[in-house]
This record gives sequence, structure tokens and C-alpha cells, in this order.
Amino acid sequence: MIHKFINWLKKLLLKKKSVTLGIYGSPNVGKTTLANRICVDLAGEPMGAVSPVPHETRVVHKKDKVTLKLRGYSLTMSLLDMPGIAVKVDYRDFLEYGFSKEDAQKRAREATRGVVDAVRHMDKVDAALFIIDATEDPYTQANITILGNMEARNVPVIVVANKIDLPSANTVRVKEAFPGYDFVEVSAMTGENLERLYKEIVQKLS
Amino acid sequence: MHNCVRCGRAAASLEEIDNGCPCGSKVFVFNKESVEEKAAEDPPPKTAQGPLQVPQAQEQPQQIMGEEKSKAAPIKESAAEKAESSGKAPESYFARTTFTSEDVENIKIIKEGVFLVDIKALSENPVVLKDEEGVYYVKLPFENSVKINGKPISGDGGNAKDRL
Repeated sequence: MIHKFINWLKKLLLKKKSVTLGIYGSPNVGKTTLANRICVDLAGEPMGAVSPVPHETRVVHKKDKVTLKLRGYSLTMSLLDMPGIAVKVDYRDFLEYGFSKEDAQKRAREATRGVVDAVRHMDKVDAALFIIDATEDPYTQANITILGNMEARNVPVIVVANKIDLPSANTVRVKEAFPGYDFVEVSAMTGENLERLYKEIVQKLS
Repeated sequence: MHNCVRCGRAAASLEEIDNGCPCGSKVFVFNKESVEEKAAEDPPPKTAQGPLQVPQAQEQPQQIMGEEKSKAAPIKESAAEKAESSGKAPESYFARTTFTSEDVENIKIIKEGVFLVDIKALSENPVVLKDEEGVYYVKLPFENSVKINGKPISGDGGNAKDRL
């Protein structure tokens, strides 16, 4: 009884006014699309530019005072949209999108810096949404290592299988790849199943 | 034509090649192009045996000296590196051998088997290796301790792609 009371008191006194939620994942899995969707839903305005070119987000974008109200709960968050994490960045991947060699090399340098920033921010987030493209093979070194880093830092994670609006999406494969994690499948593009994601976030962070 | 690898002077005679250049160097490089240019400028005299003798005479030393040139090439390269490190190095050399605030990598490949490591950056950031301009490899922390379905993925096992 006393133990419960102390825990309740601790929660009350130590409760943060706002939690920091990081959106992590490999490049082009839909992190910024999801961040924009959440920001529009909860704060009324989008967060950043979206592009088919990999590594469009090359710096950490932050949106403060994103308030999620659900079934009597109210959660104020700082949302961090992270650059995509990759183990190799090659300027040649940008050439097919019409970049000059010089611009592509510059973009590769910025993207690599973004990867470093995203990893460094792992120590600053209270929880993370780990986004996986459900149309792709989830067993990539980047995916596995990002999750490993979250675990090593004791960061609570929700695995989000994105792009379920696409016919080739295979959410079962994603779920089976990372068992033991809270799991939600969504379409950041269409907004499908976002309510379920919000519920998971409230359960995880409230 | 034989040129001294140190001062670039053309050897005036075979004796000079044997005895060494006046600058002190005893290493000469056979310059095939200058011989061909000279041959083009000075056509051989038209004698009955001339046209046959001249190509033979040229071909033999070219073959021998061609080997000599390939052996001498590393010496020439090291001399260039020496010049770079003597303070007259081009900007690209310093870009390879120093770290600036613009650099995102913390390991540089100076040449095959020679690396420059930014210890301070490594203590704070993941390992970033620059392979060439615009190509980077990132080794994420905790990579070797990550498990999937309870099994480690380090080493050659696991299904992980894109391994460094």
C-alpha cells in the first residue's frame, strides 16, 4: 500500500510537462509524411517537406506543443522528425533524380550528417515511433540496429508498419520480424489507422 | 631520352647514366614520348639498310627502358608525396590529411592502408568513413550487440542486409 502510494507520488512529482517523441526509420519509409499527418491532426499545420528523393530530411525537425487528447487523456509532445538512418550514403543514388554530381555529393554529405544527428538524438527522446516501409523487406541492418540502439538506451518503441495503402504491403512480415514490440500498421498518406496509433502513443507515454 | 627523376635533366650521354646525374641522383627514367617526338621530327636517313636498322635500334631500348620506367614509377610517386609534405602540397592533399568543421566523416582514407582518425569525433558520434567524395559508410553504435528473435546478428550470420 505504502509502495503504491510512493510510486503514485513519484509519478505526480516527476511527471514531465511534455514528452519528446522521435520518429525514426530508414530513408523514404514515410517518416515526414507521418510527422506531417500527426502535426496536421493535432497541431493544425504540417512539419516539413516530403519528397520521393531519399534523404529529403537531412536535419532534425522539431515541433513543440503537439497535444494529443484521447478518451480523457491529454498528452503534450515535442515531435522530432529524424533524418533517415542508413549505413551507406552514396551520391550516385541521387544522380537519377537529376542532381548534378556536385549537388549529389553535397546532398550525400548533408545526409550523412543527418544520420549522425539522428543517432545522437536517441539519447534525447522519451519514446520513439520506429517506421518501417511495409512494402519492403524489414530485415535490413539499419532497421535491426536502430531498434537495438533504442533497446540499449531503454527508449520505449512503437513499431509502425507504414504504406498499408499500397497493394504490396506485407504487415505480417514486419510484425514477425520484430516480435515483442508494440505494433501498429498505418498509412501516413491516407491517414488510415492513425487513431490506433494515437491510442498506442497515449498508452505508452501517459 | 633518359631524364633524371630528381631534377628532370635529360642525360647527355650513356656515361652520365652510368655515373649519375650532376645533381647526385643515379636514377633515370626513360621517356618514350620524347623519343617518339624526336623520331617524328628527325626522319632517319634514307639508306639501303637505314629504314630497317633504325626501328630495331629504337625498339630494343624502349622495351628495356619501359621496364625501367615501370620500376622507377614508385620512386617518382614518393618524390611527389615528399614534395606535398614539404609545404608545397596542393589543397587536395591537406583536405585528405586534416579534419575541418565541414567534414562529416571521422575516418579518412588517405591512401590504401593509411587512415586518418578523428578520435574526438569518434568518442561522440558513430563511426563515419568517407570512401570517396559523396560516398560514406556509417557504423551505427551497438551494431554487434543487436539481437533479433533472441539471436545475435553479428558476424556473418543473420539476415541483415547492407552490412558494412
